[in-house]
Amino acid sequence: MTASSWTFGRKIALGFGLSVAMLLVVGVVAYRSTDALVTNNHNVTHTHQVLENIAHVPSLMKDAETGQRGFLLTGDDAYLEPYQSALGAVVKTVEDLRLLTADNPRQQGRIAQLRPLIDAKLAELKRTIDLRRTQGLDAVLKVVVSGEGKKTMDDIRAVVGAMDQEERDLLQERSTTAEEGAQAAKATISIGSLLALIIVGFASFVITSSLNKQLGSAVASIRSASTELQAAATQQASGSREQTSVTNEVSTTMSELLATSRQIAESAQRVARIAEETAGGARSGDQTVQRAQEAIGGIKRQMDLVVGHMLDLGKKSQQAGSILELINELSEQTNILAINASIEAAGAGDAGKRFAVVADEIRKLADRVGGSTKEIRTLIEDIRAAVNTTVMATEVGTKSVDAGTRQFTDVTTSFRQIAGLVGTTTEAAREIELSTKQQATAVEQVNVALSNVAQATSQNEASSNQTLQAATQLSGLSRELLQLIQQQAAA
Amino acid sequence: MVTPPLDLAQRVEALRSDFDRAFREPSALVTVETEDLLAVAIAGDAYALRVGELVALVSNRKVVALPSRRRHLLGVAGVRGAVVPVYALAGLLGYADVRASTPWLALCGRQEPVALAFEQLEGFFRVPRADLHAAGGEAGHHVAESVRVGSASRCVVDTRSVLAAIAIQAGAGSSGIAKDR
Repeated sequence: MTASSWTFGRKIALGFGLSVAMLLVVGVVAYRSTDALVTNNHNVTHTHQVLENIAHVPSLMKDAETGQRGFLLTGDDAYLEPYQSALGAVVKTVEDLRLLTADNPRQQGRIAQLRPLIDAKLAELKRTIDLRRTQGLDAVLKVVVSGEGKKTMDDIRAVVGAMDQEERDLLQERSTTAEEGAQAAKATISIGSLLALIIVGFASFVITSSLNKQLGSAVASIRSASTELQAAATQQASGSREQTSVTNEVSTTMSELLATSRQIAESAQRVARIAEETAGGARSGDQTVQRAQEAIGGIKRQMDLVVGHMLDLGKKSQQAGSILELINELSEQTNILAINASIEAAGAGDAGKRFAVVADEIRKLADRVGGSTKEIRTLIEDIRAAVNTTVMATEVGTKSVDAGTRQFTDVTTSFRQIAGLVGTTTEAAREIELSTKQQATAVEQVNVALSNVAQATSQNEASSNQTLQAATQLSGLSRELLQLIQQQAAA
Repeated sequence: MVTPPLDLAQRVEALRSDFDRAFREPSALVTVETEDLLAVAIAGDAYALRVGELVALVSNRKVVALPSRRRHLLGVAGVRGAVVPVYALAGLLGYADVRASTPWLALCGRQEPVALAFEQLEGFFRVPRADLHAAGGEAGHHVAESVRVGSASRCVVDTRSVLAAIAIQAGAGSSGIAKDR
C-alpha cells in the first residue's frame, strides 16, 4: 500500500500523530525539567530552613549568655528571662536540625558534636548562676575569668560555622543544578517545538496536496452524483405524487368496490332467501299440480262419461228423428189423404160437402202435425247439433284435458326441475354470499393496505422532497467545496 | 240454435178444441164462393192447381218409362189399380228445363185419367173465387188465371187445357203409333 492510497483519516492521523509525538517529547522533557526544578527548589528551601536553624542556635546561646551575664552582674532574676527562654528553644532547634539533616551524615556527625557542647555551655551558665545566688559575684568572676565558658562558646561557633558552610555549599550546588536543568529544558522545548513545526508543516503540506487532489475528484463526482440524485429525487417526487393520486383513486375505487361487494352480499342474501321461498313455492306448486292432476283425471273420467252420455243422447235423438220421419211421413200421407178426400168431396158435389169438412179438418190436423213435426225436427236437429257440438267440445275438452294432463306432467317435471335449480341457485347464492363476504374482507384488507401504501407514498413523497432538498444542498455544498478547493489550489 | 220451447199443452188443447168445434158447430151457409187450390212448385216457379179439377194426388210412385213420340210423356205408373200415363207438367207448361225428380203426381180426367208430374207440393189453401184474376199476357201455356196469396201471385194451371192438349197430342200420337206399326 502506497502513501497516495492512504485514507484521509490515516493521513491526518499520521500528521497529528507526528505532532503529538513531538509534543509528547517536548512535554516529557519540560515535565522532567520542571520536576527537577521543583525538587531542586524544595531542596533549596530545605537548605534555607536548615541554614535558618543553624543561625538560630548561636543566637539562642547568645540570649542565654546575655541573661546569665545580666543576672550575674545584677543578681536580679528579671535578667534571667532570656536565659530561661533559650533553654527550651535551643534544645528544640537542635532536635529540628537533627531531623532536617537526617539525610546528611556529615551534618548528623556535627550535630552529635554540637549537642555536648551546648549541654556543657548550658551547664556552665547554670553553675555560674547558682554560684551567684549562693556565693556572690566574686566566686562567679573567678569562673568567668577562667575562660571555660568562652572556649565552649567558641567550639559551638566552630561547629555551627562548619554546618553553615556545609549547607551553603549544598545551596550553591543545587543552584547550579537548577540552572543547568532550566537551560536544558529551554533547549529541548525550543528544538522540539521547531521540529514539531517543521513536521506539522510538512504533514499539512502533504495532506493538503493529497486532499486537494483526491477531494477535487471526489467533489466532482459528488457534484455529478448530486445532480443525478437531484434529478432522480425530482422524478421520484413526481412519481410519488402520481402514485399518491393513483393510490387515492384506487382507494376510492376499492371503497366503491367494498360498498358494491356489500351490496352484492346483501343481494345474494336476498336471492338465497327468495330462492328458499321459491323452493317452498315450487314444492307447494308441485303438490298443487299433483292435486290438480288428480282433479283433471277425475274431470277426464267425468268427460268420458259426458261423452258417452252425449253419444247415447245423439243415438236417442237419431232414433227420435227416425220416429219423427215416420210421423212426418204419416202426416204427409194424412195430408195427401186429406187432399184426396177433398178432391173426392169436390167430385161428389153437394153430397160431399160434409165429407169435405171432415177432410179439411183432417188436412188441417195433418198440416199442424206437419208443422209440429217440422218444429220437432228442428228441435231434434238443434239437439243433435248441440249434442254434436257438445261431443266435439267434449272431445276438444278431453283433448285439452289430455294436453293439460301432459302439460301438468310437464309442469310437475318443471316444478321439480325448478326446485332442483332453485336448490342449486340457493347453494350458488350462498356461495356467492360467502365469496362476496370474503371478497369484502379482502377488499377491506386491500383498502387498509392501500391506506398504508398511501401513507407510505406520502412519506415517500416527503422523503423525496427532503432528498431533493438535500440533493440541492449537496450540489450547492459540492460546488462551494469545489470552489474552495480550486481557490486553494490556485493559491 | 235451439228453438224456444213450445207450450205444447196449450197447442194440443187448441187443436182439440178446434177439432171438436168443427164437428160441434152446425155447417155454416156458404155465402162466399171459394176455390180450393193446391200450391205447387213447377220448375222452381209457384203455381196452383184447382182441387176440383183433380181426381187424385199421389206421390213417390214408380214411373215406368215408355218409348213414345208423345212429348213430355215420362212413362206410366200404377195409381189405384189403374195404369195411367205420366206427363211432365213443367214441359207441358212450356219449360224447356224439365227436372228429373218429379215425385208428385196429380191425376186429372175422370174418364181417361192422366197423371201430371210436378216437383213439389207446397200446400193446400182455399181462396175466395173473387181473388182469382185473369192472367196477364206474360203467363205461360195453359194458364188463364192467377191468384194472389199474401204478397205472392200464383198462376193457376188450367188442367182442362192441359188435358186437351194431351188429348190432341195423343190423337196425333195414336196415328203416329199406328204408322210405326
